[in-house]
Amino acid sequence: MCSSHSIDRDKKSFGDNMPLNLDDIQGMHFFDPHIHMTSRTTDDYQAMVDAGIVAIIEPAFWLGQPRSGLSSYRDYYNSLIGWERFRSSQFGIKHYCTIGLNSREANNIELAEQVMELLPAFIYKEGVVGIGEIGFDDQTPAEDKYYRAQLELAKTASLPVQVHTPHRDKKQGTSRSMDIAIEHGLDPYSVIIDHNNEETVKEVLDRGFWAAFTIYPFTKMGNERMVEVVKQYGSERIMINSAADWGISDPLAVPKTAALMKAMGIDQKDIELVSYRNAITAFAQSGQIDENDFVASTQIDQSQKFEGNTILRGGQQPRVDKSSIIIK
Amino acid sequence: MFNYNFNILNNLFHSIIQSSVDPETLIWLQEKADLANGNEPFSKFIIAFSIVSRKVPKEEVKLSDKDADTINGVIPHFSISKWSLKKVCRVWLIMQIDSSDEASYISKIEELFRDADMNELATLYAALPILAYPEHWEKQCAVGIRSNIGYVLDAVIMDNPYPAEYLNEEAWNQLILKAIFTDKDISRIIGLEKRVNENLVKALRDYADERKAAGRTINPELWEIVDLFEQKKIKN
Repeated sequence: MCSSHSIDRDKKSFGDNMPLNLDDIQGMHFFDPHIHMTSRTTDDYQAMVDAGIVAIIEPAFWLGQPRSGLSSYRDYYNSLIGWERFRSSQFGIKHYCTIGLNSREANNIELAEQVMELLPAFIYKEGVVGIGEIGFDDQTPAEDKYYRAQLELAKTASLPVQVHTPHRDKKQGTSRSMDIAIEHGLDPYSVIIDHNNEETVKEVLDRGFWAAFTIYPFTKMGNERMVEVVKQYGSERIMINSAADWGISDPLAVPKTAALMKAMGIDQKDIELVSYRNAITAFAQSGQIDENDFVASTQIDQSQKFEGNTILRGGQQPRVDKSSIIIK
Repeated sequence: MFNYNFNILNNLFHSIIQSSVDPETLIWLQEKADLANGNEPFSKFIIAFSIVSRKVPKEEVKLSDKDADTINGVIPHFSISKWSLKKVCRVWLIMQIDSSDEASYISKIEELFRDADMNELATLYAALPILAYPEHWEKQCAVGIRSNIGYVLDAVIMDNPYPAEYLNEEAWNQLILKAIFTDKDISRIIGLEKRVNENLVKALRDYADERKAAGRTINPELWEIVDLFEQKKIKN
């Protein structure tokens, strides 16, 4: 979940447009453990597959528009385990999700109570790899209450927790999120603290939690900074994600950061850990991730599938030639 | 309430499961089956229905020819040979829901549909032929035909004897048009010969004309359906 952006931002701060060169990471596989595909287009899915992304986790979040009733939550959760899961599969990407009540909407207490009653119907579904994204936004008493309640739910269901850390008063909010998780008896190894930065990472790692970094332009981490973090802290319990959503964000943040790491001389083993393996190790504690499911999908030969460009097998989506002005 | 011999199928499913899962899983399934009825909230049963994905191994069901024949004898053209073991276990769980009270049975099944994930939905639609009060599920089946999820659509359209038996002409024709539109394996639609009709053939011809006008190819199986209708006319 990210904060709102201003489109009045000085154009120069968007940087020069450079052609994307991912040659250095050809053949590598990536796992993006935090991306909101509901808010993204089919173009993104195709670009992600081309860049080597084989699996993703879509955390339940705030859709940008506050929900006014329980049915909106139900339909949203259903879309994460239904339609979006299928949409993703059409592009050869294995889709998992985490289910939870996001911190911002936890402040609508009347509705939050109902959502808490709804959650058990969804957290045991196939491919639900954790409770998330939950935690603090404004750090209100209501956020505290529902964060705690959902930690208990995670314990009951033996699921990992994906913790959103606040934009404001971040350092203190991150410490507090970990304090509470420990107070509720969760093993830090089952808790992924998200949206870290240079100021929070040390404490998160020292206390035994997983440290996720969101590579998100302007508001969270830039990937040059991420390279420095890996140089300093190594690759143990560190993972990167895009948290791409309805804001100005980048669904290729994980492969791009891997490419930058490679260019900056980071060891291949470390790149693989932070852009693929660690996320799997952390979320596979749910018992819901079988790597065979997504390794198989990478063996789909698109050219074979779509030869003749009419009959599509296996529910795969056809390619359109983006460089042509002709639309067939 | 059932239009087939429930006990034969129920026992057969149980024996298939018994020979496919370890004793611990079998006990787990039997315990969860008890949640289908009685005093516990039905939501606990729904959670168990979901957790089948974690408890039951990810493999295809092993079915003897004899078992396949028995199933086909109980519900004509019904086949589970392409089902996963998880699907068999889930459908067996559904079969444990007491059907003696129509309203309660229907509300339980509808609750299962409401929050079902992708594979659960595909399972529920594949299970339409075994549900009690078959006439009631016509609308649900029509909802399935409108699904945007390929696997769900597959479960409604292919190897499923329910649509041909219970759908009205309008919904049935939609199913066939959708099958052509989404390139399903037409040979796996049950009851096509019986249900092919003039309105369907007219819509198929129109569709073929549209494709032709757009310079797109036409699924050759479309003409096989048109042909079925022509043959049926001659026979009559």
